[in-house]
Amino acid sequence: MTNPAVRITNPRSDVSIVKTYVELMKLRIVELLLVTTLPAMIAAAGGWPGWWLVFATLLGGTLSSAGANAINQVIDRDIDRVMSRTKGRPLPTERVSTRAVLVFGTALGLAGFLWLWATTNLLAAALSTVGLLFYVFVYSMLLKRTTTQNIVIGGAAGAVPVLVGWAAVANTVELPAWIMFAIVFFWTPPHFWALAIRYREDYERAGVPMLPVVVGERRALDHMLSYTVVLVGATLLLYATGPVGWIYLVVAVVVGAAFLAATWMLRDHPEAAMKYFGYSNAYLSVVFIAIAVDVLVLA
Amino acid sequence: MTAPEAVLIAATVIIGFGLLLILRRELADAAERRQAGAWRDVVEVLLPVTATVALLVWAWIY
Repeated sequence: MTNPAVRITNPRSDVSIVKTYVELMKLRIVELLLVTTLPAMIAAAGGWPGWWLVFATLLGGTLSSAGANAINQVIDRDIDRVMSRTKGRPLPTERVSTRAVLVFGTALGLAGFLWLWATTNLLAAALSTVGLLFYVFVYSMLLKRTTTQNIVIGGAAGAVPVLVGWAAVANTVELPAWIMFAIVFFWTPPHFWALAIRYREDYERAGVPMLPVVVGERRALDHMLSYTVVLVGATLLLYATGPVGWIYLVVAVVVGAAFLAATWMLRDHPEAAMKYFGYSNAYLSVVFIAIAVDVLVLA
Repeated sequence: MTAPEAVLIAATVIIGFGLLLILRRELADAAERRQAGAWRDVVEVLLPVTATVALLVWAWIY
């Protein structure tokens, strides 16, 4: 039987081909990674690091992240096919070949490494590539289908861009950069478990052992609360180590308390998981924007 | 005591409490799913917890 999504797409249309490849890059996720990279650069520089360095780092980070996302879709193509949330992606709908996506993702990753090396430094380029390789080999291939800790440990890949941003400016990775890494690291599990609560049947059907599938919704919500407590503590730790001042502290305390309250309330209203998912995106953005604003205003 | 020192103490208490919650819940879940390979669950839980404790120690020395 012909897949309807294949039928409505004209394979010879240049526009549809470009749209397909842009879709493979998952730029919405890349956007969030960049929201964390720029404030890390500003904190490392103690002010604005310069337009060229910002442009070069964000472009390199985009290439690496987009490459990782494309390769990930090759690995997950069987899962994506059975999940309602992902079955419209380019590979399940056969709009593009597996080989083409693999070549595209690898080329993006390689381009990201070379671009960052040429325009920033080798450390930033290497970290960016380590993030890509960790995402593909450790998260997608090793953890995703085998353990409930998949998103906990695998989430480290999503935290690498802050290290890339810091390294691009300082050519080293200091304690504040690792604390920002920890903030993204501990933010990731509650964020993705909210998604897994909403799409629990999807993950179950695909055989992906997301925590809410394995231990149940209620216990997953308890786990989310634990990780949120550490997350809020980590945001405070950044103030204690120096690169940010009182503006950041006030914002971190206020939005941290609100995020904790939201996680607590979600335990009684799990049907609001997607609302919480959106709120957690906003939370991380606000925390990192506060880092940038604080450094730029108080510098 | 300076403000950063006070916040460092607060952050340590909050993170320590959170890590204890994580350990308690994760290890309880792992024990419930006890089977061949359960040790892997324990290692996977201890890995980020240990790394966070190391980060805290670094913050105190910093």
